[in-house]
Parts: sequence; structure tokens; C-alpha cells
Amino acid sequence: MRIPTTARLLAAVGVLAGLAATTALAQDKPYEGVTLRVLSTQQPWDAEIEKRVAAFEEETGADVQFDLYAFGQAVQKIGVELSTGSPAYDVFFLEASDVPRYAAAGRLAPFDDAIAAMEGFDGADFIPTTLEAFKYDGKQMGVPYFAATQLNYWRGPVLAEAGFDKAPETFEDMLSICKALKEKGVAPCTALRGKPNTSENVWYWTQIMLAQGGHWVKDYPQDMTPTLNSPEAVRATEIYAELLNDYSIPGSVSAGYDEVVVAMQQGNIAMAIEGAPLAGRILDPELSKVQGELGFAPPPGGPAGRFAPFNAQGWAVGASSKNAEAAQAFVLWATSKETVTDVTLNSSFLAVTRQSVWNDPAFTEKHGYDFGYGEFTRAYAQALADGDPLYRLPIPEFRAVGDRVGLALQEVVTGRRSAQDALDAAQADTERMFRRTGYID
Amino acid sequence: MSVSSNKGLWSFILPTFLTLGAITVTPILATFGISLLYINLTMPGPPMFVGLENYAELMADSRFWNSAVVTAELIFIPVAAQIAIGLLLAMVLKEKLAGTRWMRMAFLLPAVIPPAVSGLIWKLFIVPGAGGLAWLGGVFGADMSLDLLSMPSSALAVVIVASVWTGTPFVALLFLSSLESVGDDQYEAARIDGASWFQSHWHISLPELRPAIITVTVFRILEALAIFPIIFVLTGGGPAGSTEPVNYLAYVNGFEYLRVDYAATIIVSFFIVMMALCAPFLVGIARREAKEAR
Repeated sequence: MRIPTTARLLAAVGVLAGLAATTALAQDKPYEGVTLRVLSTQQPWDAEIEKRVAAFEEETGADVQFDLYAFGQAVQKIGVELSTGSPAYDVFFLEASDVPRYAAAGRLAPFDDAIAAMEGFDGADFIPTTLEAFKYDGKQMGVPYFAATQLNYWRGPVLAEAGFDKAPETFEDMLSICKALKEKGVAPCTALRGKPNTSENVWYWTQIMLAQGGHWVKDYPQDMTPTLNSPEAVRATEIYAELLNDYSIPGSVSAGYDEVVVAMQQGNIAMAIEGAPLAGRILDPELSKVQGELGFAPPPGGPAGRFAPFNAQGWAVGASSKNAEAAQAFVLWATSKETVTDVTLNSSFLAVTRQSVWNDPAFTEKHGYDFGYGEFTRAYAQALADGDPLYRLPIPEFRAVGDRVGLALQEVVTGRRSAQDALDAAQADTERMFRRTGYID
Repeated sequence: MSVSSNKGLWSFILPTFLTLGAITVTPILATFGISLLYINLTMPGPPMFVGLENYAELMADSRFWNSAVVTAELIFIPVAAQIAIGLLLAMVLKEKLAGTRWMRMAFLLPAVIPPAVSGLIWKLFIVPGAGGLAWLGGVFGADMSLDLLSMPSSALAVVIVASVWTGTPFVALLFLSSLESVGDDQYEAARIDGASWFQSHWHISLPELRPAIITVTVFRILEALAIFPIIFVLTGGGPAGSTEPVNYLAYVNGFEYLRVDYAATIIVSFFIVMMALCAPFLVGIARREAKEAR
């Protein structure tokens, strides 16, 4: 069949017009047809970003799919995916302390070029320690969206009943207050994390250990000999065990942060040292029974000072991602000033890593709880300032070491071993682990 | 049949041998191979051959020895209880009483529930102050508000009870089928001679069931640690490692600490110990079956 010349010309013009339109669309939507898979946790940040992701998809054409798991399961699945170099996911949740675990083997894609190319991202706006915590070998391996520390939440009227008008300055003070509360029948005094792992009981215990003058190792990074059974660490463990066994709610030995939050939220305890970002849940307008009586202070310290827990959480992109550029664009969009401000002003999320948001009067108005016993944002900022960047050792093996210490702490609180015996065993196992990896001879 | 006449049959059984080799022997050899390497997934560089270094490390690992003790407790106590209760159940179900048909089905329920769901059921049952156990305690006037999972001994006891609960029905079913093959005339003769219900079973059922008891015991021992999902859901190996058997320790090392070489070492060591314990019985069972087949 012969096609007329005019028809052929019209067809050619049509194809060209179509191509031009497609090219224009491709320029407008640079990641059209790209599917990004995010492996992260079931936390407020993720839920809020998922709600807003349509804006990014509309702007770039990418399709973003979230696989969200409970914290422990997420950390474990991420470990398997990243360490095996699987390309199944593009964006991964990471705690800053886990960055060396994957960056050392080249499993993460550096962000430096993407950040430099993105106008208005303003990296200098981040709380420096949080951004620094995501660096490895001078390269930016992820972007933090969550600044983690702990606060002392204390109920002013309850402590006043026992004759105390301020939060304890040291853990020894805390024991005294708890003892007084118990004697006056205001028990239990507190609730604390007892689950045996790096993110639960060890996250709490480390601040007591550092405050007593202890350290994870002799002199990081020059001398990596573990010091887990030092007199300071043993004393810290005794304090931790006394708080948990004598002054905490039943079931604390297997409690995670959820149980602590509920105990504080329901007014079942007088005080709790718990995650600063959890204030929104503790003061949930519909559930909280401690509205109007809660005070906020940095956590207690000890003879060596105050060492509030410190860690940052963020998103990283796997080196095996087939869509690394799009994935990094998504992470930078999610952590941009605009998105973060929108999330914090319209949700309970407040663990912000951007200083401009902290300084925003609208943020203070929404989250600056102040019931006359210490203002929240001030305590939070103080706790972040007191945070030790070496709260967790930045080595790939830290999670294994932390979990081993977590097990020792549980052995102490359940009465299976004395603090000295349990930490001696943890020390021996850690020395063996460090010898294997070549940190010590 | 002479050996030479079997030659032609090899072509028929070879595919089965090859398949079995691929799905059983190869993974075991691969796991053993991995246990002789140093593999650090968090650092660049290829695996290194380190010989028995991982085994030497294992022998010095206090957490492993704790797990070894827990493993023994989680194997022998539940299996003994399953055999005893299973035997009793089989003897009761053998009686032609009203409703035994339905009872047989009801007893099987725990065995068909997925282990992870069993773990959840038990977790909900023992929730301090709010679970079924607290309610039962209330009915009998006892305070059952204790958190059983927060104490090492009670947490282990809960896991053992859950293990017995899920494993016993299958054991009872196997004993029942063996028991039903025993002729009624033997029991009839015993009854005429004045033997009681207990004496009949003691002197007739137990000797008749002896081969079945040995077989079931060996296989229950080999399967005892299949309660991994229950432990995962119920206790997570805690508190203080009191419910952490070696397969859970291997899982933690492999999937949480990314130490696949060490996880392989744990599994191979466990495999060797289990085989050393069970091999004589397995050989005996195989010989007996071969003899019966002739």
C-alpha cells in the first residue's frame, strides 16, 4: 500500500512533536519512570514524609515506595541488604553510629556532589555534630533528619511532695530522690529501658558510665583496649541496676522506650530519662495525663560531668542503587528546610537537625512546652550541647560490642551475675572480638 | 537379588541421590567451608582462610557456653515431657470413650498453628496483669501479675511449656498409631488375668512401643530447636540470654552482627554435637527398618 506524501509528512511532524513533548516532559520531570524503594523505620518522620511524598513525585516523576519496619527489624534487614550489596533498595535508614559499619566496605554512595549541586540546600544550617556524624573518611555518607538525645522528664508537683524542687543533677542524686519517693510511698520512681541491646539498655547506661569517668576503650583511636570492666563502668552498672530493680516499674528488665513513654504519659512514674524526640508522644493531647505538670531538664551527670546520649538518624543511599542520583535527590528534598519546617509545624515530630527550625518562633510556639518546671526546647538544646560525639564508638563492630554489654547489664539486673563478673565476661569477649579485627594485639 | 543385578537400578535412584546431595550435603559442606574463613562484610577485601581459628574463638566465648547450656535445657526437658505426656494421651485416646474422635482433633490443634503464632498466643496469655494467665489466677484467687518473661528461670519455663504444647500432639499421634497396631487380644488376655489399666499398658503397650519411642525421641531431639520462631516472638533470647539457644545465637551473629563466618562455626559445631549424640540411634533405626523390609 502506498502512503501519500502529505500523510507521511504529517506523520513525521507528529512524531517529532511527540518527541519534543517527551523531551520537555523528561526535562520537567527528570526521574520519570524511576522507582525508588525506601527501607526505613515505622517512626513519625517516615510517616510524615510518606504523607508528603506526592509533592516530590509530582515534581520529579519518580515513584517512591516505602517499606517500613519496626526499629529492630529495620536495623537488621538494612544490615543484610547493605552488607550484601543488594540493589533491592535505594534509600536506607541509618543511625550515625552505623555509618562506619557500611561506609568502610564502600556500601554507601557519598552525597557530596549532590549537595554541592543542589541550590538552597544550605548544609551549614544543620547542627554540625549531626552532619559530622554522617561523614566517613571526609565524605558525607548520609543526611541526618533526627537529632537523638535524652531528657529528664520530671513531674514537678510529685517531686515537690517529697521535698524536691528540681530535677536531679547527678545519678547519685536521682537515687536519693527515688529513695525518698519510695519511703513516702510515691513509687515507682522511674521507668527505664531494659532490653539488652545497643539501642535500649546500653543507650541509657552509657551516659552513667561516661559520667562516672569510664570510657569504651582506653584512648580512642590510639589505644583500642576495651575498658568495659573498669571501676567506673562497674559503679555505673550498679547504679543502673539499683534504679531498675529498686525504683522502676515492674517489667523494666524487658522494657523498651515504648513502655517508658506509656508509663510517663499515663503518670505512673515520677520521672524518666527518655528520648527528647518522644516529648510529643508523652504530651499527646488526647492521651497524656501529665500535661501541665511536666518539667524538662538535661539528663543527670556524675563526677566526670554530664554526657547526654547523642546520636543522629538519617537516610543514606546504597552504593549498589541503580537510581542513586534520584535517590539522593529524594533524600535532599526530604531534608530540605521547606520539607522539615512543614513536617515539624504540622506533626508531633520535633527531633530536628536544622538550626533554622530550632530558631523559628513558630516551632518554639508549637513544641516549646513550658509548665513552669523547665522549658523543653532549652533543655533539648542543652542536652544536644552536652552530647558526646563518641557516645558510641564510630567503628563497624560497635553494635556487636554494645549488644554484648547489653547482655551483661541484663545478667546483673536479673541477679545472674555481679556487676564485676558480668563486665569481666563482656570485657573478655570484646577483647577477643577486637583481637580478631586487629584493633589490639 | 545379587549385587550385579542391582546395577541397572542405579540410573533410577541416581537423581534422588543427586537431589539429596544438592539440598543437604552441599549446604553443610559450604557452611563448614565458611567456618574456616575470616569474612568481614563491613570491611573491604576478600575472605581469608583462617583454619580452625573461629572454632578456637568459639571455645572461649562465654555467650556460646551459656547458649550451649540453654540448648541442652530446651532439648531434653521438652522432649522428655512430650514423650511422657504424649504416651499418656495416646493411651487415653486409644480407649473408645465418647467424644474421643473430637478430642483427637482438638489435641492436634497446637501442632497445626504456625510457631510464630503460637509464640504470640503465649505472649498474650502471660501479659502481666492483663493476659489469660492473670485472669485464671483471679478465678482461683492467686496473684498472677508477675512478668514471667523478665526473670531468667520463669522465661525459660514459659518457652519450655510452649515447646511442650506445640510438640506433644504430634508425638501423641505417632504413639497412638503404633498403639492401635497392638492386638486387642493381648489387652483382653491381660484383663482376664486381672491386670489393671495401668498394668496392661506398663506390661504390654510400653514394650510394644519401645521402637516407636526411640524413633520419636531421636526425631524430636533433632527437631527440638525448631521452636526458633517462638523464642523470637516470645523472649528474643532474653532475659540475659536465658532463652538463647545456639541456633538463635548463630542467627544474631549472622544477621545482626554480620559475622557469617562465626555463625557458620556455631552451626557446624552444633551439627557435629547433635550428630554424635543421635547417630547411633539413627543407624539403629535404619538397620531395624532394613531388617523389617526384608
